[in-house]
This record gives sequence, structure tokens and C-alpha cells, in this order.
Amino acid sequence: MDKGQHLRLFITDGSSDKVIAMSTELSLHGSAQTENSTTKDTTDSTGAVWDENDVVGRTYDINFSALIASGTDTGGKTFADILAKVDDEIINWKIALASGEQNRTMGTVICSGQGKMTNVQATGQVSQQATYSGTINGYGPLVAVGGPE
Amino acid sequence: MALKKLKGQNFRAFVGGNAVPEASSCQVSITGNMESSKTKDSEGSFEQEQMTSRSWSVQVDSYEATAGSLIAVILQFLNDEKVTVGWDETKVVTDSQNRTPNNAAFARSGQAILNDFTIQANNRTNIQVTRQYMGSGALA
Repeated sequence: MDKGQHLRLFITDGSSDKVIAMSTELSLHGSAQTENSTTKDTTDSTGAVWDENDVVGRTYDINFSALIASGTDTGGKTFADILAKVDDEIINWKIALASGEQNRTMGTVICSGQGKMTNVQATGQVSQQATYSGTINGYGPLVAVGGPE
Repeated sequence: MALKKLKGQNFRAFVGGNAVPEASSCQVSITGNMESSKTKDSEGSFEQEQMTSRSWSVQVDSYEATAGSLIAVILQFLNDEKVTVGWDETKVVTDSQNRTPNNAAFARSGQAILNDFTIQANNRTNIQVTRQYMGSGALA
């Protein structure tokens, strides 16, 4: 059974995909905007009206948390790398199962897409690990294996 | 006939005719959408509302352990096709994993849209998926 640490966010950097270094949390949230399409025909056998809905748009976002570390990490994206991404720049990302050394070897890709880093927040409290979190807003389609391009 | 209390594990959501696997909780909501019918003829200060339509939704939390099951959730979100969603009591049958519907009097189902989902993957915990289905049309 795969645990949370096996599902990781990768940011494409040139021709390679790099994990968020020292990450602790990851969530992918999708939301569909719906339109009420109830008509005068929309009644059940008792005559009661039930709302009908159709999807008119979709949005998604990715949230992640990680520890802040000093120094550089050639195999992963650090707090400094992420800060530089809050720049209206389009980011190519993948969420995939990971294994191997430091749990950084990409396995099955769950989904991928493009997005923009819209928020980064950092916290430093006495006697606690300094942490940061980031939000990527989806830009264009969310792509999953076997789904629409 | 005496009523039997139902445990939460025996109140399950069904999607596409099957109990959601590895589910930990579900919530069902049916809402009557109300409209004021007060007029200048109405006496007193209290509202008099009429039900204009009904809407429903089902939310399911589950632990998803494989790439295939996570991809399936995303594909359902991306699919414009509506899916049959409902709820029922489950009965214990050997090797059924508590997934066999019991056709309870309160069981309902209808067509719905997966309109919201969250995949949560935290360090050292199970990967959790929350799905919310918005009903489209009548419950039967």
C-alpha cells in the first residue's frame, strides 16, 4: 500500500523532473463549476422538482508543505527555488509515485499539467522546524492517463 | 418489529453500483430549496416558505492505495458523463468486505457529477481522497 510519502510533486526543470525537497504534505484539489439546468420537465413521478446540474468549467490547485533548509539541492526544489517561481511563470508539474533513494525516483505518473505559483508562505517559530507552503493554481487542463488531453 | 441500530460502517455510499472501496466515512445531504410566499395579505412577521425544488449531494472519504485508483478519481472528475451515486445499508456476507447492499428502505440513488475532490498525501499517513458528488435529477 502506498503511503503519503510515496506520492510526490515534481517540478519540471529543463529536461528533468525534480521533487519538492524535504516536503511533508501534498494535496490536489479539483472543483467543477456547475450550471443549474433544471427545466419544467424535471419532475419525478410525484411531481416534485429535483435540481439538474451540468458542468460548465473546472479548476484545480495544488498545495504543498515542506521544511526550509539552507544550502542547495541539485536533485530537488528548495524554498529558494520555489520563491523564484512566484513570477507569473508557467510551471510544468507532475504528481507521481516515488521510490528509491530519498524517495525521489519517479514512478507511475498520476497526473500532470501546468500552473502558476500563486502563494508561498513561510513560518519560523522558536524551537520548531522552519516550514513553508506553496499553492499552484492550475493553468489549462489537468491531464491524467487515459483522460482527455 | 424492533429497530436495529445501524453502525457507520454499514451505511455506505455507492458509485456506479459499487460500494466505494476503502471508505472511512460518508455524508449524504438532501436540501429543499425554499422560496418566500409572503404577500401583502400575509399576517404576522413570520416567514411562509414553499419548497420550489430539491437538491442532493454525497461526500465520501476513502483511503486510496494505488496509482490506478487515484487516476480513476481524476478521470471521473474530468468526465462529463454523469454517474450513478447512492447510499444503502450493507450486510455482512463472507468475503464481501462489507460491500453488499442490503436494499434498505432508506436506500436511494440517482445521477450525479463528481464536482469536487481532494487527494491528500501527507508524510507517513495513508493517502486520503475526499469526493463530493452533486446530484443531477431525482433520487429514486
